Amino acid sequence: MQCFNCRFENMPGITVCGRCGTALQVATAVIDVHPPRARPWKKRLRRLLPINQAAVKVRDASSVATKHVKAAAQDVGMPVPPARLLWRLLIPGLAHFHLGQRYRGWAFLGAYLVFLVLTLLFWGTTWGSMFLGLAFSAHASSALDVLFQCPGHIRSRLIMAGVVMTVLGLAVYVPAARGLGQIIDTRAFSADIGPFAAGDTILFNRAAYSLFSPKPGDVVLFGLPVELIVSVRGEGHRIERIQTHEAIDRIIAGPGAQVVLSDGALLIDGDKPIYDSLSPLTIPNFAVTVPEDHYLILPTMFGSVHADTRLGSADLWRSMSVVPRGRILGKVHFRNQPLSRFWWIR
Amino acid sequence: LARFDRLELEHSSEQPGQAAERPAADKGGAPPPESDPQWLKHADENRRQGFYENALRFYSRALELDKSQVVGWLGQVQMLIFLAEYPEAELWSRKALEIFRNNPELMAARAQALSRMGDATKAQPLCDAALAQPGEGAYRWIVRGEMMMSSPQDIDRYCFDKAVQIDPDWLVPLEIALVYRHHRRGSKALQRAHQAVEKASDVPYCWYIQGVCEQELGLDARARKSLKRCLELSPGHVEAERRLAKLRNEGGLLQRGLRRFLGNA
Repeated sequence: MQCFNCRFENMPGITVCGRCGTALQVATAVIDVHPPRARPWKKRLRRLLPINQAAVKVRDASSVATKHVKAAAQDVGMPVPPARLLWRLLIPGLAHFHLGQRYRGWAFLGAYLVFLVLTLLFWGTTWGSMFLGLAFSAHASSALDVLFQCPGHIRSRLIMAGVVMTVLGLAVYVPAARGLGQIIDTRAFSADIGPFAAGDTILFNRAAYSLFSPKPGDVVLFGLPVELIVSVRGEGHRIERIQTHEAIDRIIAGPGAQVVLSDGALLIDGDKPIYDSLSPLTIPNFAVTVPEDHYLILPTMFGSVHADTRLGSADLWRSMSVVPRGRILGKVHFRNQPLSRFWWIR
Repeated sequence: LARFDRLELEHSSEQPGQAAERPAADKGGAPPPESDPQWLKHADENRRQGFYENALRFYSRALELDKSQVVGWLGQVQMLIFLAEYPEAELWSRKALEIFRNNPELMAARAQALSRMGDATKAQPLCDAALAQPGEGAYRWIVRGEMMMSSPQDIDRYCFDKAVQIDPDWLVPLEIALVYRHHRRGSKALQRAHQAVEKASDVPYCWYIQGVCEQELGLDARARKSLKRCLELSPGHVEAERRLAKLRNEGGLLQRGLRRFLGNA
């Protein structure tokens, strides 16, 4: 049988060309002969955004940079570990699994995960920062353990370990902690206020309403339009007066709702509301229509404490309860401290 | 060996299921069933008229009948490149290379697709490997020339000259002109298009490409002549008509009037 690619005469019965390796049974094989096509919009997009070319340029530049770094490191007598090990250092224990050291890998990964979970549980407290430090230590130890198994002089290994730890800290942990801090924030209570007790820490999501609008039923942290002075019980029988301009409560109604409060009964568009505030409280009678981009949130958490004498005024409640969207700071998710009271806030 | 050839011919003359693979148009009886060389001929004709979409379809038809036609696979990849579908061309050339290992033309086609995607690091060794294969082909040298276009020396010209020397067909200088056009080297593209016109002055597509090159270089009077010649040879050439109309409407009222007066419209 003659190969149609190189014209080599093969013996009959042979399925692959002896010279060029071409499959000799192509004519009878089931092969799709219709090429893939690009849609017009895809072609236009490729012209506008040459992503492929940019990716190739980045790849070429990075390969050149890697080559130079390796050459420079070898010049100073510091061999660079192989890339397959280096990228695995990003996850503690992964490089150990690659090297076949399963027990060490599990030990580092387990320790790291434990500290990471504790960090998230204690986020916003001193303990949280400590656990974050310990998680980083576990990660760094894992990297050091791998790097110290690489051949080379002790000095070069120490320098490499320092470089890797610095890169890990600056490229992974600092941005991650800063990014997380921008999204998840905390508030701690120093006194018993409403449903919250002294020592409680709540977590709220600052980015929850960057894409979506708040909706009735959400528990939110919001800025009060007026500053309140509330009297709370301090240590022993001492009464402390604290100023506050933030509150946590549930959104009762959205924009456009007709709200009437008469004789302790709240009516929204003539019906009983679906959602209640966090604390039950008798509020002076008032009626209001929630304007566009505003929400009805009754800051009832101050009702149970000896609060500002102005709280008896219907005008104050009217101005306090209609909150513009810009004053809603974030969605409150759960109380993470103390652990005995850890639960979702709904 | 002759005996073996005969055996294979008997084996591959009509495969079971081949009729089922034929396009629906062939079954109804309206157009007579064509053989793969005829489809390839149709594809080549369309390619020579610049109808790359049709040519691609005909290459696929030819391959439906006989998948062992390397010309069909190569043509498909080249048409995809002409249609600016480079990732698809690269993928298809890879598939074709799985069937026709180390085929120099397919390697060159893949190198061209890769270089159009900006991946010169992968394209260069492929192009070198294609040239290292036995035999000579114009297409390999065209691709080589395209890869050399970024070099400060005039190496691309030598590569393209070599391609023209290997294959005296007018399609070679014309496709070189298209390569130059792709890389926005208008004057060089015009030289090659002119070369193609010299070789085949009765082919409308050569005149059309020459006209386009001249129009891009701002040689409006010459572009008008070339496009008119294209329309004389192929009266229904839509693109030539469109470009000519655009050229006619260019310039101010006085300029257009003067042009009509001098008979240059």
